[in-house]
Order: sequence, then C-alpha cells, then structure tokens
Amino acid sequence: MTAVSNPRVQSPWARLRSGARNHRSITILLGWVLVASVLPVLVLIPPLSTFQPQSLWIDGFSNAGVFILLAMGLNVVVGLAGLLDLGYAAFFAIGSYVYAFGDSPFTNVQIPFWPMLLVGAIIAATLGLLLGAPTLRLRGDYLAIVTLGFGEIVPAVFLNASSLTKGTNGIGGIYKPELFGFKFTLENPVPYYITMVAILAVTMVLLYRLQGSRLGRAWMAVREDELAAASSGINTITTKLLAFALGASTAGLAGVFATSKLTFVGPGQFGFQVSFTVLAMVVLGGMGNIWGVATGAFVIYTIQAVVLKELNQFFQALHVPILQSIDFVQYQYLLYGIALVAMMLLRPEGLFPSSRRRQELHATSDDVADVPPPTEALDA
Amino acid sequence: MTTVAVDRPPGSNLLLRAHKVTKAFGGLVAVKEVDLEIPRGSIISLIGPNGAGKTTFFNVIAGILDPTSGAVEFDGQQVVARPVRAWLEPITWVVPAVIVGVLGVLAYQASAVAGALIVLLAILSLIVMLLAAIVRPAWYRRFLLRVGVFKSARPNEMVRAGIGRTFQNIRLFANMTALENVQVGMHLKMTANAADALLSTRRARAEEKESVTRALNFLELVGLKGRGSFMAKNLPYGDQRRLEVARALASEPALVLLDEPTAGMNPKETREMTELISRLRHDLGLSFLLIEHDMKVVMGISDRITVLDHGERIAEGTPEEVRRNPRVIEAYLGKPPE
Amino acid sequence: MTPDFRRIARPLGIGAVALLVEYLLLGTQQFANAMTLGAIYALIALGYTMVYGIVELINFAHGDVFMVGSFLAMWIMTTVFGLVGPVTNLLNLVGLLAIVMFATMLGMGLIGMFIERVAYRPLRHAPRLAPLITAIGVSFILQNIIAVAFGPSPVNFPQIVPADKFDLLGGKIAYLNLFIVILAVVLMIALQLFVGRTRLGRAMRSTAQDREAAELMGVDINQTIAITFFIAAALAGAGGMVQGLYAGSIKFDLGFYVGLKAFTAAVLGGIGNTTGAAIGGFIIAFVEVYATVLGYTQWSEVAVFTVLILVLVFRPSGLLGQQLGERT
Ligand SMILES: Nc1ncnc2c1ncn2[C@@H]1O[C@H](COP(=O)(O)OP(=O)(O)OP(=O)(O)O)[C@@H](O)[C@H]1O
Ligand SMILES: [Mg+2]
Repeated sequence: MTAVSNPRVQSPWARLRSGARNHRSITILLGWVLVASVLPVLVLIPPLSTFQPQSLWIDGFSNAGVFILLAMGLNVVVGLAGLLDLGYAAFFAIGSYVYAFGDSPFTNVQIPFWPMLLVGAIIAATLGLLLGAPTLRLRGDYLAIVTLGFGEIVPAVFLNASSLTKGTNGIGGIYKPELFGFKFTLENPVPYYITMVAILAVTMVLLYRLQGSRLGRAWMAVREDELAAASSGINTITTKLLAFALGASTAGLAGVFATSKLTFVGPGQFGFQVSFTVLAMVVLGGMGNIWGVATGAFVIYTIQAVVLKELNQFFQALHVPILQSIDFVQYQYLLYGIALVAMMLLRPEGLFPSSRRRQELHATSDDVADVPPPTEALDA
Repeated sequence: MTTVAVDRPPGSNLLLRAHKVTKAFGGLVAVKEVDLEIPRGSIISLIGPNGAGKTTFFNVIAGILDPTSGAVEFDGQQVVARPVRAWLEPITWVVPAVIVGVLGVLAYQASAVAGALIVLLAILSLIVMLLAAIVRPAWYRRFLLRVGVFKSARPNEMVRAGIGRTFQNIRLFANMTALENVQVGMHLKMTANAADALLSTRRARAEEKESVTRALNFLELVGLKGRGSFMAKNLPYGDQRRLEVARALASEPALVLLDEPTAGMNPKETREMTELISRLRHDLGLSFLLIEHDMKVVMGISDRITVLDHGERIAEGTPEEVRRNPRVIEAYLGKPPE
Repeated sequence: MTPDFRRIARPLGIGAVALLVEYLLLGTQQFANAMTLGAIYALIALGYTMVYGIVELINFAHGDVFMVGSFLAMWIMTTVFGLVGPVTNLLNLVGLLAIVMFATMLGMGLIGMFIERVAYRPLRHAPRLAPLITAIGVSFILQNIIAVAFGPSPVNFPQIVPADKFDLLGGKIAYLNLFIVILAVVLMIALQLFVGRTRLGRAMRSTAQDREAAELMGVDINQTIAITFFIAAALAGAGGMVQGLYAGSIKFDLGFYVGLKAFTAAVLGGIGNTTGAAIGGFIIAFVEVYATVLGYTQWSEVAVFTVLILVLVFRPSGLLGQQLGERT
C-alpha cells in the first residue's frame, strides 16, 4: 500500500543526453558533414562496391534522404505531439505535384527549384491546416482515420482530374534544379546528394530548436495529458495544428526535391504503402527521437531498396533450395506489419530511443500517478 | 465571452460569481442550481460527502464542462454558460466563402483573372475563419457575439483570464521533469513563438533561461527545492501534489482552484500546504477555492464554506456557522434516529 | 416526448426519411443496388462501432478482417465443397449458404478474438497511440498474408446463387440482392436482441458505459471485450461472404476501401451507436450509387470522404450519437 516508487535523480549527464535543449546547432551540422563525407567512401569498400557502381550508390543516398526527411517530419506529428497521421504521403504528393505544376513544360511555367522548395512546403502546410482544423478539435483517433482517407483521396484526385494532371500517365519532363548557372543532371548524382544533405542538416537543426522550445514543451504536454495541458494555458488545438502543418510542410519539401530528381510525377507513387513505410520508419527508429528516426529511415530504406533485392539474387545464385524461390520484395510490407506490432508490444521506444520516450512508453497507467495515498490521510 | 450587465462594476471586490449552476449527466443531476461567490483575496471552501458534485462544479468553473444551465462570471465577465446557437458557428465559416466563391465563378465569365482572384479570396476567407475559430482571437469572439453565438471559455482561456487549477486525481505530465512541468504552467507568461524558436533568437533564449530560474523559484515556494530534474512520475505522492500546485501557480492566476490538495499527505505536509495557502493569500492577495475533506484544514483557513450534498447547496457560511448547521451534520453523519 | 419514445422514434424516422429520399432519387433498380451495398457496409460498420463503443479503439484492421472473411468463404466454397457455378437446387443452395456462412462467421470470429488477444489486450493500459499503431500493423499483416497466399490480382468468387431476377415496381431485381438485404436485417435484429436481452449483452453495454464500474459489479471485462471482437469479426465475415457473392471477385486490398466507407458510415450514424451504424451504412451506399448514376463513378470515394469531413465539422456526434465534441 505504501510502495512509493523510488525517486531517481538523473545525473546531469543523463539530462544532457536526453534534454533536447542542450543541443548545439553546430554539432548537428558537423555531424551531417561527417556522415555525408563518410557514406560515399564506405561504398568503395570491396563487398559493398561489388553490387552497384558508386554513382548509383550516391543516387541511392539522395533517395534515402527523401525518406529521412519524410520520417523526421512525421516524427513531429507522431513522436512529439502524439498524433497519428496515416495519410502522410498525401502531403508528399502535394509537394510533388506543386513542383510539377511550377517548373515543367506541361504547364509552361518555370519557377526555379529553390523558391519552389518553399512554395511546395507552404502549400502542403496550408492543406494540412485545412484538413487538421475540423479534425483536431475532436478526439485524437479521428485524425488517424481522416488522414487515412485523405491519403487515399489525394492521389485519387490527381488520377481523376486528368485534364489538369494527365491522369494515370503522370507529368514528365519536369525541369531539374539549377544553381547560379550550374545545371543538375541525371549523369552526376553528387549535386543532388549535396543538396539533400544540406536540406537534412538544416531541417534537423530547426527541428531540434523547436523541440527544445516553448512550443516543443507544449507538444509534449499535449501528448502526455491534453486536459492538463489545456488547464495550464496551452491552446491544444493550435498546438496540435502547428505540429500537423509542420509535418505536412516537411513532406511537401521532400516532394519537391524528389520530383526534381525523378523529373516525373504520377498518382501511382503515393499509395498508402508510402505513408505506412514512413510510419514504420518512425516507429522503428524511436518516436520522438530525431536522430533515431533519421537512422531508422535510413536503415529501412536500405533494406527495402537494396537488401531485399540482393537477397533474391544471392539465394538464386547459390541455388539455396527453398529460399531461392521466395520473392523477398513481396514480403516487404508483411515484414513491416509484423515489425510494427512487435515493436509496440515488445520495444515501443524503438530501436534507437530517446531516453525520455522509453520511460513513457513502458509506463502503464498504474505506475504513472496512482501511487496509493497513505491511509491515515483518508481517515482524517 | 459575453459582457453582461452586472450590478457591480469590474474591479469590484467580487472575483467570481457562479449563478444557479446546474450540470446533468444524462439523467443524473450532479450539480443543482448552485450559487457561489468568491471575493478577492478570500479562501472559500467547498465541502460535501463523496459524490456530492464538488469536482463537477469545479470543472464547470474551469471551462472543462459546459453547464446544463446557469452561468459563471469572472472579473465581471460571463465566461461560462450553456452554449447558445453553437451550430451557427461552422456555418459562419463557410457562408462567406461560398458567397464570394459564387461571385468569383460569375466573374470568371467576364474576366478569368479577376474570377480566379476572387475564388482565391473565397478560399482565403475560409482558411482565416477556420484558423480564427481555433485561435479565438478577440475579434472572433466579438464576431460570434454579434451573430448571437455564445460558447463558454475554453480551459486555456480560463487560465488566461486568471484561473489556475489542480486535479483531484493528479494529472502531471508524467514523463517530463518537475521543472518542465512548471515551465509548461508558465506557457502563457512566455511569448516565444515558433519563428523565435526556429531562428533561436536572443530574446527566445533569454526568455527560456529566465523561465528556468522562475520555475525553480516556484518549486522552492512549494517545497520542492532540488527536485527539478526528477521525472514527475518518479516523485513521491505528496511531492506530486505540490508540483501540481506549483504548476498552477506558475500561470500567475488571481484565483486558484485546488481539488483536495492535501489528500494523501501526512500531517506535517498538510500543515505545510495549509501554511502555503495562507501565505499566498496574504503576500500576493490570491483567492482560493478549495475542495477538501480534511476538516481541520477547512475550518482552519476558510473565510467561508459552501456545503454540497447530492448536487445541492445545503449550507453556506463561516466555518462556525457551518459546523453548527444541523443539515450539514445530517449530511455527513446520516439522520439521527428519531 | 419521453426519452424512451425518442430513442425508438428518432432512428426510425431518420431511417425512413433517408430511405424515401433514396428511393425517389434513384428509382427501383438503383435503389436495390444501394440497399445491397448499404447492407454490406452496415454489417462492417457495426463492427467498428461496437469495438469503439467498448474499448474506444478505431480498429483499423476491421476492414481487412472483412476482406479475409470473403477469402475464407471463397476458400470454403471452392476447396471444401468444390463449387464453381450456380447451384440450382434451392434446398442445396440454402443449405450450402447456411453452412458456408456459419463456418465463415465462426472462423472470422475466432480470428477477431485472436487479434484482440495478441495485439490489443497487452496494450490496454499503454498510451493511446500504441494500440492504434498495432491496429494499422495488423491491417497490413492481414492484407499481405492474403496477397502472398492468393496473389495480388483479383480472385474469382464462385457465383453459387443463380442470377435470376424478379420484377418489382418497374425494376428487375436479382434474388441475390434480396437475400443480402434480408440476411443483413436478420443479423442486425439478432445483434440487437443479443445486446438488449442477454446477460452477455448487458455486460457489453455496462462495460461500454463505465468499464471500472462494470468490473466492480463483477463483469468479466476480458471476456466481454473478447466477445465483442468475436461478434464484430463474425459480422464482418458474413459481410465478406455476401460481398464476394455480390461482386463476383475479391482482392487483397478490398478491406481498405470498404473499411474506410464503413467507418464513415459508423461516424455518420454516431460512433458507438449500432442503429446509427446501420443507417449510416445505407446513406453512404446511397452517396456512392448516386455518384455512379450521375456518371461520376471514380469520384465516389471522394464524395464519401467529403461526407466524413462534413460530418466531423458540423455534427461530430453523428446522426444518433451522444455529444462527443471538444468538451468531453
Ligand atoms: N463525466 C461524468 N459522466 C457521468 N457522471 C459523472 C461524470 N462525472 C461525475 N459524474 C457523477 O457526478 C456525481 C458527482 O461527482 P463528483 O466527482 O463531482 O463528486 P465529488 O463531490 O467530487 O466527490 P469526491 O469527494 O468523491 O471527489 C457522481 O455521482 C459521479 O458519478
Ligand atoms: Mg471530487
């Protein structure tokens, strides 16, 4: 009856590690420079270099970067504010189509890539606001189902409004970025790679700053207890809406980048699988932990783009009896599904958790605040 | 929030006035026509047996529950009442957009550019109205009144108006540190917005730093010195109660609603809490509305006491009057055998 | 009006008005289609609403349970009974339908209970996000198991009910349509009786209202929740079977789309309210069929989604639900 949980003082070092506000923007930027310069070199090491030429690898890293960006954006919504967004790919699609309309021979408009990054982000955020405004007033679960529907509807609209979007054929020949007269090309993946790393580095600095700010605290408070947050003066709807719109803008940004690289956009690229994959990245990486989520996204992207395909060839080459006949790519989403359930049941803090989130997700409602009061007080 | 004509001008001695507040849950009337007045700088207690409706009354005052009837005025402003014509609100968001949109489509026949611009305007108006409905700035509230819509203030608006509260079953942000809990309480006293945070402006950093100092002061005030880096859920029960009080005080309210602040505390802690409340009233002129089962506390510090039973106010008066009231004794001890 | 009278009269009134408007707008032929589709949506929407009512969880996997139900029925028909074409002997047909339906409902009910036991129950006290995420995971697992087992392309469903039609009010209506609507109505009445008249039903209602109080009064919460999932999944299974009969072919991602529409139906009717779910199902089906009649088939999903958003903006509690708005 008197089993009061033992108070545990966190060492100052533990706080340094877990507290978001103790970051230094410079550290993050340097971290990215380090990662960005090491990755392409790693590829030259023999076993890795046998799969693909280095240029393809580097190209693959930019593609992975798109998913890292998506995952970091969704992390704000799911990990920080505790809202479930199941139609995240819709905002990715919106960013993509915005770029296709803004910088392609199809519409005959030619706004340069760099301002379009911003335009894509802003339009995606605006649509996020419009969708979130009616929904975020209600219980959290409604957001999940509404975004699920939205994620389904947006590609459907792009598919069916064929006079505006060329329907299922998609829009091709989209212009590539250009910087001070230097043209990006398909042959040279390095400029895209550098651009992506820069975008990621800046995004991450900004997200860390938000997380450690008054707004970041409000997000966490809303996630922990919405009523208590409101009773502390937080406008919970605005706070949730900001998280939702911020996530949407990040996806819009990713869409612009991805489209400028692919030079093509079609409604088939934005199925529910995309939203689901990004969610799996966030959950596996560790909700609420920015570096963890980025790592999770990179790992999953690598598994899906490289490992599963190579696995097929590997087993076929070796004529392994049963394994050679299995198409591993086909099992990809089954694996994600199992991983999602398993993670929630066994390791909800993710593979690379922030220490704060780990404590939260392992708490059942029993050890949160229900320490029974000493009896004498009740009799008084 | 409606400004209703009140007999006393704002700034008068009366801080809060609840008028015939009734709250029914389906068939169960949890609070029945309860009146309550809280003069500035006073400590008012609300007592009654379990299930009397005390917490429900609190939740109505704090803007969490809409009353079935009755109203609450705070600082001369009506802040809580049964919503009036709430269905009209979403329509006001859509109607201007539709009208302008139709005009735009008509104008499109004459000039494509003008039409497109007007349609854009329509969409913009929709966005503005939706956002206004969420942020609820002053002009939007005035606009709602103009079209005859009344909605009670939301909990966060009550905090802005000057009411802070604690919960009967503790609701801390369990996985945030004690310090952060208090910082969340200071939310409205801080001003850094998203842009400040993104740019990490000097102002924002200074404010953040200052908020830590102030939060530590609040922790010290309630006797939690040195506990700032504890996760809230790892604190002992009594400390959690005190942390809730600190979080409520951090919003610098004029009126503090405390729902059983000494529940689960030992006699020493209870005494400290009682002293804290008296001190805050004397030093800062705060007013308190207190729900409490510990009669020693109630009789010791209350200016006046209101007694609820089965949702009804059965007595009101000074501690002495209430102690001797036969109806109160009956409610607590049952009817004496005839 | 007494509350009791309102409880019965209001749904009846809303239902009758909705049906009348539908009939006037669609004409007999399309009305029959809308009713059939509505019956299927209603069967699924009931599951959403029951589960939500009792554990406050949007069971994202429910649409996929429905899809698995149609595959299970298909498997029983083809593999166990070797059926391909129509069964002309009425007695045989009725017997077969009864057996297949019973087996499907039983099988799906057990699967539903299994899912609850493995994926949701351990998370009952976890933060709200956790069961939602497992639900979406379960949804993907079910879809992909079927995709791997039966292939990603549409699979033919044995058309064991002959395509005969009868004339009614100027329309030609297939017996299958009649069968589906009657079946759905019978199942819904059975459900109402079960919830209203039996001990287990009472346990369900009290758990939905106040779980802690119910537990104190001796209701076995785990058992009650398991039974709720059993019933929800069994109804979805029945829905899956008739969907197969009606559409002729089934596909692994069927549950996603139908699930979304059925959920919209549940919200429209007022989530947690079983009568509302049924009415919502018929209205959503009407929206869909009406879009088709007007020649906008490919926009029907957009229309349904728009309905969902409008309901959430203007009447989040749905047609028959209690107030669920921002202040609860
Ligand atoms: N959200 C609700 N829905 C339905 N009934 C409710 C709700 N909240 C409270 N009640 C009921 O209203 C009555 C008053 O409850 P309340 O919590 O206000 O009592 P209280 O005076 O605070 O009691 P205690 O001393 O035990 O805290 C009780 O019968 C309770 O069951
Ligand atoms: Mg109480």
